Amino acid sequence: MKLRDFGKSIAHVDLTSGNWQMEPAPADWVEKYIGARGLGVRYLLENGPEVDPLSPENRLCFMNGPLTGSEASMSGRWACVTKSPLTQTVTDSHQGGWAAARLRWAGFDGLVFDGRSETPVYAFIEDGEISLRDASEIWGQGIHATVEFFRERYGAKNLSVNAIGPAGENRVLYAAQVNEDDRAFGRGGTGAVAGSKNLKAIVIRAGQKKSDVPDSQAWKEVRRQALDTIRDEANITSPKKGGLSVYGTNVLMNITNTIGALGTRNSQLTAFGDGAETISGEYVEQNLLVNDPTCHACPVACKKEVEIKDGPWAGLRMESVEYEPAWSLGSNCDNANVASIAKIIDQCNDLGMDPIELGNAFSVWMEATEKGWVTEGDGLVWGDEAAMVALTEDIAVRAGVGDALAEGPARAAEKIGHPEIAMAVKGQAVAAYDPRGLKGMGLGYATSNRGACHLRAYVAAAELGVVPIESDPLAWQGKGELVKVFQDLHAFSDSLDLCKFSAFAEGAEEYARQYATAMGIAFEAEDVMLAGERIYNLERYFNNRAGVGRGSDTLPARFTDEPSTEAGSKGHVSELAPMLEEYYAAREWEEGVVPQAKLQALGIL
Amino acid sequence: MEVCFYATLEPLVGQRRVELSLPPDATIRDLVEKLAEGWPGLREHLFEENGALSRRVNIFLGGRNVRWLRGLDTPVGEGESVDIFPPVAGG
Repeated sequence: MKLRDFGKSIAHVDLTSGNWQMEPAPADWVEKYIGARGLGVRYLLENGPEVDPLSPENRLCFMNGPLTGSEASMSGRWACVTKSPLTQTVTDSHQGGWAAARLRWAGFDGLVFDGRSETPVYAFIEDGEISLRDASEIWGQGIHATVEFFRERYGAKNLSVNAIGPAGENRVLYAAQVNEDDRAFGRGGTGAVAGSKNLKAIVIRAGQKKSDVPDSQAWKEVRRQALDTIRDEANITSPKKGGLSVYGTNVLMNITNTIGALGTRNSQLTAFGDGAETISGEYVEQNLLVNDPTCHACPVACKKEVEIKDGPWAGLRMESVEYEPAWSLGSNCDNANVASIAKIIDQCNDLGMDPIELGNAFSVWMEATEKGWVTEGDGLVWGDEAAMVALTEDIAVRAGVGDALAEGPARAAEKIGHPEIAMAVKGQAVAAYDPRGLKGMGLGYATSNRGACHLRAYVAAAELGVVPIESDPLAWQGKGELVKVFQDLHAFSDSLDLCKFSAFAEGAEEYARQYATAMGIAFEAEDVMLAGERIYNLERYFNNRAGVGRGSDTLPARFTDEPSTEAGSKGHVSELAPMLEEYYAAREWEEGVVPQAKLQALGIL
Repeated sequence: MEVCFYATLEPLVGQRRVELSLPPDATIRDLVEKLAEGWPGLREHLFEENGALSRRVNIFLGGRNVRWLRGLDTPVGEGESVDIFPPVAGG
């Protein structure tokens, strides 16, 4: 596996004709956009930003980064990049697990799917070859059954299956793709795009291969330096010692509850009181945890396998009760039972849906029911776990009320004449950080290029005091520049593609050293930030051309006009307008639009 | 007053909540000194070598991180809630 050959093995698969061919990515694309997220967006731009996301004309890219599948820590990631049916913007979503590494070991740096197959197919990938094979007998099956089907057919050894479930087949606008049963391309509806192309699964069989880097001693040394920072006991990534490693992402639940940044009842409240404890990472670790599985080359092991011990879902083993769905299906829906949350997350992993969007669809419907805006008999009561479980199945097959909720919370709220109760930006719902208690996160939601998203900026790392750049979560001043820096850094790490959580320990210096040594080029920390800025602007340029431009960087009025209700942030609102002013100045954008001069300065045009 | 410990700090104390009594003019510095005396294993998590509040701990008074108040000099009184976390993030 020659790391320095990255970009030369991109497979273009025409689902309409059933043919494929290998075409190297243009060298200047790899130089400018690195890989994974950045390179995928460049392929999307080439295809045209105006396409209908669910038409055969949309493009579905699966892109590795230059470090994917290597010995670099936390390098088991790939990006799925497409035009989102949920937001009409470009979207990229990332998976952990082993599929990305296996794609690299099978001889591919990326897959670009165009067109639409007449009948359901899956792509089987092995030893530098791709074949499209009939998927009729598994169409309609859940992801767990699909994975099992392929394990029986091809053997479980060295096999990864990335699949859609019924939600993707039925074009639920927030359908996901899932590999290894539980690692998802979660956000943005990439599963609906795969479903629209009749692409049921990507099945990869490949054994591990070592990286071939000419200066192997230097490669070893830069990896050791990066690993040392991940292992440092001062960092939350420290194996078996740091909070992220011990408790997983749900270590956040109690702290956001404490500071008044845990949206509750569709963000009508900003904390969940004692309810937070029973859905927290500490509770899961003490009562339900059975295993700590991990992804390729990751010592952190933030995934947490749990077993439900009693109640209607006793015996369920699943991973993971992550923080975001524990919020979206928990406090957001006034549900303090972690067992039902685990059940619905597992349903999402099987049916192929984004649990963040699903939880927001529920909470919209619950608030609408509370206020009498829903037809009698169609309503959903706060915290009704059994109804949530049943409705999850209905949404995946678009049955009854499920059909409206399959369009996502923003469209569902619009349909009943109350768009103001959807906590969404550009059509995509917010995640588990209330912008009244974490103000930088609010600006991050508003300016994310894929609709509301906690991960594009993730300035919570600064606002919660995890990284050395500390920032008062209740101060709006300075958030414009801070959000830009974080967005640019993550645009780069998403393009390498290293796990987002590497940034809790590593920074631009560590990324630059690893990338420079792997590729045999000169590359410094400032080049990391420039490449990240270029990628972020490329995405914004795509969106502007897709019609998402001036005035689209907004927040729901609930966050800007209705003060926080709970201690920590009580009385605060999001000061979005002045934060946006700062942000646009830092970006040199005109009201959310990238000017030509900026595009030229960054080498995009 | 009640002090709550979370995540990796909770096992060091052995319980989620502890009750403490402090003098009327107490500050966060008095609080953390008392905690370090009661649970010596906490000291390295609470203080830097120079005596400053450690970067590896976040202390919230009424939901506000004391870093954004007056740090160790922040006054703390009976009836106020104190929550102590190690650095935590995820997403």
